[in-house]
Amino acid sequence: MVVSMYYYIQKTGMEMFDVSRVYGLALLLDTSAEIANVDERIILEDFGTYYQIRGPEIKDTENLNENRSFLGLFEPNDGWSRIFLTITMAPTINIENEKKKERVLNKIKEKTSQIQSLLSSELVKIFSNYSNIEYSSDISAKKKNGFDTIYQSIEVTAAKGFRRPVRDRYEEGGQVYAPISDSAVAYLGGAHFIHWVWGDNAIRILPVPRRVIYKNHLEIQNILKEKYTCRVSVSSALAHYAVNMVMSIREQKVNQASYADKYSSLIYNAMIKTGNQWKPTAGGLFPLDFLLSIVEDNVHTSEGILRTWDNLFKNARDGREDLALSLADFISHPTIDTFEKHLNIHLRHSLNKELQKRNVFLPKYSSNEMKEVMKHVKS
Amino acid sequence: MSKVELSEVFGNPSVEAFGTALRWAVRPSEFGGAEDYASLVELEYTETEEDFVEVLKKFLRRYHSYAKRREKEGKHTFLPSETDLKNLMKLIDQLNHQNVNGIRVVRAALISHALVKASKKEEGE
Repeated sequence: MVVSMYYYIQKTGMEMFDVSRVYGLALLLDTSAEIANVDERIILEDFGTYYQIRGPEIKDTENLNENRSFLGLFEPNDGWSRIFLTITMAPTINIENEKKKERVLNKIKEKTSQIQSLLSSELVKIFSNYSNIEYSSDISAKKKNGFDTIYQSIEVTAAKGFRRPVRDRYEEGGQVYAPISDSAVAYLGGAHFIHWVWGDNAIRILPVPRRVIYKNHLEIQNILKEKYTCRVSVSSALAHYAVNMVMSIREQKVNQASYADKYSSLIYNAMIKTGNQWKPTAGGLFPLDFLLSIVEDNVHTSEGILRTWDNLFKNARDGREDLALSLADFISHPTIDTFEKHLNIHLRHSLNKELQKRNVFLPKYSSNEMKEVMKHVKS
Repeated sequence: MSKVELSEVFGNPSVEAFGTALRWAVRPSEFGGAEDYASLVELEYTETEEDFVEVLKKFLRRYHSYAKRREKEGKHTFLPSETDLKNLMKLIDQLNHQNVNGIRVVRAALISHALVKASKKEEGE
């Protein structure tokens, strides 16, 4: 008989670190359940001060290091290379220079082996910790025994730490540390679930589950991996990712009569490389309410609207970058001001004869689609 | 007076009349349009109701010339009326009473019509 359990991830205030742990723990539960031949739905939920995962009770984690599914989680790939970006300095393992590639792979293997070893030997203890609602990750400004660095690539605020008084004034702090098992779970989640967009900044995006079935999220994740994301700016990358994600959510809603998954926002962090160092540039939450409310209101009409916006983001280049900037602004703040500004830019570009000569035609809305968008604009 | 929403403004018959005319007015001539970009620019910069009325009247005068040319080619062209213009101003007034910038809302609704695909009926006109 399968027994369900609840697991709790108390929030630390470092949002990407926390949500990475949610996905990391869900991935460990899913993999362990597969190995144990247990079929139990895993549900991720936000309860305000903590995230809750409902999943199978896992008592037996023997022979994990011989199991292909478990070992596959730690195969060196782009995901892992990016988690340890400040060490590998390589956003991808597809490197032409063989010597450099070998060096990068060795660095990744060194780190992933440690994580694999820790997780396989301590998995039952980790599940036990997280099944206790009082368990919280002890974040420290000082390195202690049993603690590991929270890398900037998993949480941009960890790079600057806690502000501290230095000679009568406050300065930014140093590196931040977390218990090694919590870091390991976060790195696993980050390597498999964080979406990276490479423009002037290296942007990381992670959807925040409000109430989501893990398997549904995996499906969306796999679709989004293959989709192009606009790189004009941080906001346009977020808005385009959000449009693509909500398109996938819409399709799931159409295909599943009982679909009720909800996401609240996208967490994002951004870094920029200066010389040989990666520095944090931005972080925050990108709202999904506007896009989700359009789908909620009219699942059929929303398809055309989302496709139009996807198309506009794809066309935002060669002098049309303001299309992406204004649309991103509108999607994140759907007011009459941002709407009017975007409409003017869209119309101006669509009337451009030079574009038409090159057979570039920007998409237009149907009357129903335009009306549907307007229903959600705040006047 | 019930609250008017932006989507209702979009669907208002007089807004639709002017919006449809604007859609045709800004189209390239190769697609049967008047290439009247000046009206679009003037519309963008109106701030007061008086300016708004003047810009729309100028637009109507330009649009009438375009419509006459099309009539000579045997193509019927839909024309917004003076009544439509009066209705637009009433709508702006109604929105202002809701503490909403009426000109901004009506202007956004007009421009959004220009970004809507023409119906088959319109294309046949």
